[in-house]
Amino acid sequence: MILVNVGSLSVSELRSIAVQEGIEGAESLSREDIISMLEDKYGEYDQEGDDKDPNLRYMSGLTDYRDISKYVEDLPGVEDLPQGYADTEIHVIRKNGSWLYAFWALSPSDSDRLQDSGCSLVLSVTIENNGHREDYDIPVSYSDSEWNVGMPYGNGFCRVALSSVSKDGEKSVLAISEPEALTDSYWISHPEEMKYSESLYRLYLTLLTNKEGELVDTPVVRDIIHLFRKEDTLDE
Amino acid sequence: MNKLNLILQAHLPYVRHLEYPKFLEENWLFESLNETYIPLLRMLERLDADGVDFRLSICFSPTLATMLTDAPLQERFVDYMNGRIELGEKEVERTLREETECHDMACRYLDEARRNLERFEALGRNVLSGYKALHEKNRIELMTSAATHAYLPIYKDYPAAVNAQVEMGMRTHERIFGEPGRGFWLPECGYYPGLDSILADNGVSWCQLASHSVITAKDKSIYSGYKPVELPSGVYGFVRDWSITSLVWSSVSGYPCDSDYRDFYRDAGYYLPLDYVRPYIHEPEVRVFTGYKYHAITGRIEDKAYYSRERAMEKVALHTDNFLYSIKRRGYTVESAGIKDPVFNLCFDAELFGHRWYEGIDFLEGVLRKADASDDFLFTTPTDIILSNGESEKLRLNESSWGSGGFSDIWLDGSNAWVYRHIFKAIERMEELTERFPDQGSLKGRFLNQASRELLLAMASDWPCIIHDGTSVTYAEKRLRNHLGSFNVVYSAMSRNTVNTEWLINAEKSSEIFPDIDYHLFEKKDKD
Repeated sequence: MILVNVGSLSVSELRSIAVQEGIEGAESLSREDIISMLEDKYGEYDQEGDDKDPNLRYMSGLTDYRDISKYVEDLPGVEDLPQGYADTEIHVIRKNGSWLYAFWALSPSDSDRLQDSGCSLVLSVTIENNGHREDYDIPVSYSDSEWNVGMPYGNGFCRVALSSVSKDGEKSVLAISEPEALTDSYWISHPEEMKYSESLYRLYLTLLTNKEGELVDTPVVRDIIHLFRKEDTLDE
Repeated sequence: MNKLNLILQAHLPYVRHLEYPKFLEENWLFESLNETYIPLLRMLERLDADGVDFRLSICFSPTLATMLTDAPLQERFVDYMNGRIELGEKEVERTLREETECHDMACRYLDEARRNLERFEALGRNVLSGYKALHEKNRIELMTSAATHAYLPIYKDYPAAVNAQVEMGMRTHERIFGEPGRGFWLPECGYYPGLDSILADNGVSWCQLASHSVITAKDKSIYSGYKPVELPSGVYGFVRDWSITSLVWSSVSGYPCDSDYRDFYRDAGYYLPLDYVRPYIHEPEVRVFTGYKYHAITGRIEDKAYYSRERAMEKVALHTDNFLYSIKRRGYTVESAGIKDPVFNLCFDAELFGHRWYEGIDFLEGVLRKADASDDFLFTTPTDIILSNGESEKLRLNESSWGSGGFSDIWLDGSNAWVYRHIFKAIERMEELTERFPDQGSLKGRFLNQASRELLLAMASDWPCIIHDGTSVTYAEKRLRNHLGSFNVVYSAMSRNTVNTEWLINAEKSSEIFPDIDYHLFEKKDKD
């Protein structure tokens, strides 16, 4: 983590960043206008509109040598990466407690064969949780190659397959991911014990709460703390 | 008695571009050396000389340790310091005529630079030898990390690749420090069930863990992280105390945000006339940090107050007292819950102290001195705690990290997810190469070793993190493409059963890291 403070930047620093970011007329703009235009500019880079510290972005103007690309391209051994690989495959990576990131590829021969025969594609999601099994399909197109898949907390796993579906509805598995374990937390599966665990709850909070009383930025923790508060009459 | 494990992680990605007379990203290393690694060592040596009883743990990541022992980079650092000293001499003169409020600090910076360079030369240009001497005096515990600081949970479907990161990290530590490390810094506190078995197989005794790993565990924790966790493989985990570390880390209310502390960003390199600073910035006219910073944080305003060292040191005294007081108070709370002699694990990036937070090393010195003078605190190390056979609890943990959200969201988002498609494929191909060419020596062996090296470098967590943060993105992307592209050169050539000798010699020269690497590291392993 880098401590960044927009207020630390002088007008000349902000102008220097604005010029590097391609903002025209930056030399004559006020400090507030430059900050506003930079915020717009960096906002364009946000792909998911998440809650990143906007101040962090100002580091790029200070540390990123924008002309470096023409030098780095000359480094020995640089080759273009392929757009894809000639294998049909699927992988999942856990993003967080509730989401998996799935990405896949279809070999050119599989792609041609399936499209010629009019097949469609689906992601077949299997979730096995505490002995219960759930299966569902997510339709995807031939141009798709990634998807985020939701998963519950529990004791079990989630697995995603790339499948083709023929015109008459017959499904064939093309590739299948490794299973990804669900987040299996003692406290989420034992809420009934929470009302007898007040001192433990307080102890957990001592480690995970800052001096302003804010909780560590982790959704699973928030869910557990919420359960503690719901299961008991503890003060917040 | 509150037991305190101060665990510092010193890490930088492997950046070495000797093909250019100067390379901007190499300044990451030079700034950190001058502002953190050497001053921190000097401070610890001072404590030792004064008879202060202190302990802490420091991880020098394998990439950083390699750069710190690299003769050409050491030579470049001396050039960098000579430039910094030359600018300092000019600044001392300038601030006699103008900005006279800055004169004392200009003198101070110049003096610090001279002392640091002198210490660097006295250590034979190898700052790690100074840390090793403190380790041998049992003042610090040296530990290692993954070979290129890969964020390991993302690679859990590839145990051979994870093992390669762990094994090469351990081996590099032993090669550089002359003995194996017992502790292993999990990059980004990234843990997943099963990782500890790989650590155990490689002789690791302990690692640090994210703060929320205990409350979210599969088993009920009684100690809540205030005692070591025994992981299923027998490796011990030390849970980071988020509450106490936030007193420093918080970008909103942490001590380093105090208005009297020195501002990190307001640097003379950005506002003094171009002709004056031109020899000390990047060619052709890219303004960069020079290290000469004269303003206090002051507030979110344009007109910043000049820095007062005296006022800042008063704040350091207040903050060290507050830090220890907060731990002591927290200790009462924990002991009242029935946990005697709680262990507080205070994990930080080393570069915060001195480099980003100028007064940070003074803060650490104050904390260590005051703790030694008190009966309420004992600074110790995880290994000492393990050897003392105190209480611990067996827990099975879920996946976790110290990143925002507690999992992998930083290293896997819309901006950087594309890299894994290529890295996963490269891992699979590397495993395939080890099967197809199980016994290659000489040139083909070197070729395959280079492929392993490129793959490890591509796996570094720094690249996706930089892309996520939006800092130095161009460089990170180029590095990724370079390493993966280079890997593909080997794969394509070996598929044709040929070796591109000229390419190999150039590639080996550009990445002088892991000289003892053996491509068999990537022999496929069963997931369980």
